[in-house]
Amino acid sequence: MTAFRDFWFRPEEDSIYARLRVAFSLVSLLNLIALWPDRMAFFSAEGLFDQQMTDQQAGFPSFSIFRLIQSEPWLTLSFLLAASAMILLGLGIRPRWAALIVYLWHLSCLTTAPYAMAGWDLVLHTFGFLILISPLGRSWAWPHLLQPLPPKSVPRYGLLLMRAQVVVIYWQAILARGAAPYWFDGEFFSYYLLSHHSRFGGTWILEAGWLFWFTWLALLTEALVPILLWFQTTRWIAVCAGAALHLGIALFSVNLHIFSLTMIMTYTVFLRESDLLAARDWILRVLSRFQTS
Amino acid sequence: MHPALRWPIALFATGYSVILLFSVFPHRWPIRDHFQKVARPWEQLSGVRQDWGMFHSIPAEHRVRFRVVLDDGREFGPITPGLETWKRYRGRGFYAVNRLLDEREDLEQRDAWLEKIGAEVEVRGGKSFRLRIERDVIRDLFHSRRDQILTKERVTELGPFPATSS
Repeated sequence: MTAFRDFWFRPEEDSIYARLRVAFSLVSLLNLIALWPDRMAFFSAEGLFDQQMTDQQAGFPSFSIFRLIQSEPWLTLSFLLAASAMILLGLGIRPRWAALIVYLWHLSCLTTAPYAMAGWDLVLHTFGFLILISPLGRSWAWPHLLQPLPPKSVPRYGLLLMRAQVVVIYWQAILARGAAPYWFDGEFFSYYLLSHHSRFGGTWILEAGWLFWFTWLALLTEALVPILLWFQTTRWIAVCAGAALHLGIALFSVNLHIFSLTMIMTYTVFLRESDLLAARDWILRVLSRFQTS
Repeated sequence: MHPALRWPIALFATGYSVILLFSVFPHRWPIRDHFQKVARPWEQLSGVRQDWGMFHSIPAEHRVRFRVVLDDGREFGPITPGLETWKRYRGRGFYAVNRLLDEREDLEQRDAWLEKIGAEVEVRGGKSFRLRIERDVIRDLFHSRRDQILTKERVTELGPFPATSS
């Protein structure tokens, strides 16, 4: 029994939690900024949704700060408070309290305006919860932001859950597509480029046979990245492939930038100090080769 | 960490991993649906739902315009408050209005929203309004490749609805 308990408490680098905390705060802040212009439409009493009806449909007591504050000044204040909590979390100042406020703010957004929330809101909320219950990382925290602290070990349970969460996000997304013909015959990307999300629509898409490869490559990347991230030898290949996929989505779309940043943020839970040092050494080697040639 | 916290955390982490294990399967798969009944209270309490069907269907529209058309011909956007127009780069407004208009989703929520539009129309001196939805629907690529026509326009009008404050 003790072995079962200790499985979750084997040591892991404190700095992984710290990097995730910083990355999560930055992306959450960007998401909040993106939501700012729509705060009245989504969360006020005069907005698109009837809160009482949303509560009835949920059929379960759920928390939302926006139930108490629905006028513009209070909504604005709540956004500013959440933004401050995100900054404090990133800086590592009172991080547990800051993480709690950020979690409750994301929960309120999902509870009050479920129809307006996108997949990345749910990813941020889920990671917000897992960060709240995990060690928060003493390194990269005020007042040691720029001075590295000696390496410290902390329990790994939070990282294990977050890594498993990344696998579930990608694999469920693939399985949900089932045998949808447009994914497996390679047409999905062409349809996507014709959609209102797309930046580069036009008749050129009809003649571009190579777009099939993008669809299949996206499927393959989504299937393999969550596995390759677990192994040190393939970790950077996975990070680069996943980042390329998501930056590609951001490039081709007018409104999915935060989705891309959110998914790239999740990769930080896999990156150990040794991975970062290996990447730094590789970059230095490449740069020195350029200088000598 | 206090040693007394270790067991509760280990048990919670194990429970959460079981939820994750079953959540690999998407909704509407029997194995997931059975498990969902057990996990539902937790998901509703925490808001942490395992629902990751991103891009599971192809986008249907190339362009969509939602317009509130008053009885006197004036036009406004559908976003309350203020009857603002939906901006393409702010994708959430599209999701929100599209789902409010989807008849399979939630008619009560839609009716409440239409009442709010009605109140705003009344303030602007209108007596009634219609909701006009102009969609450029993406055609099947098989047909588009033959005639080079990408989309087909589909216009839907809902209403008229009275302009009354509730």
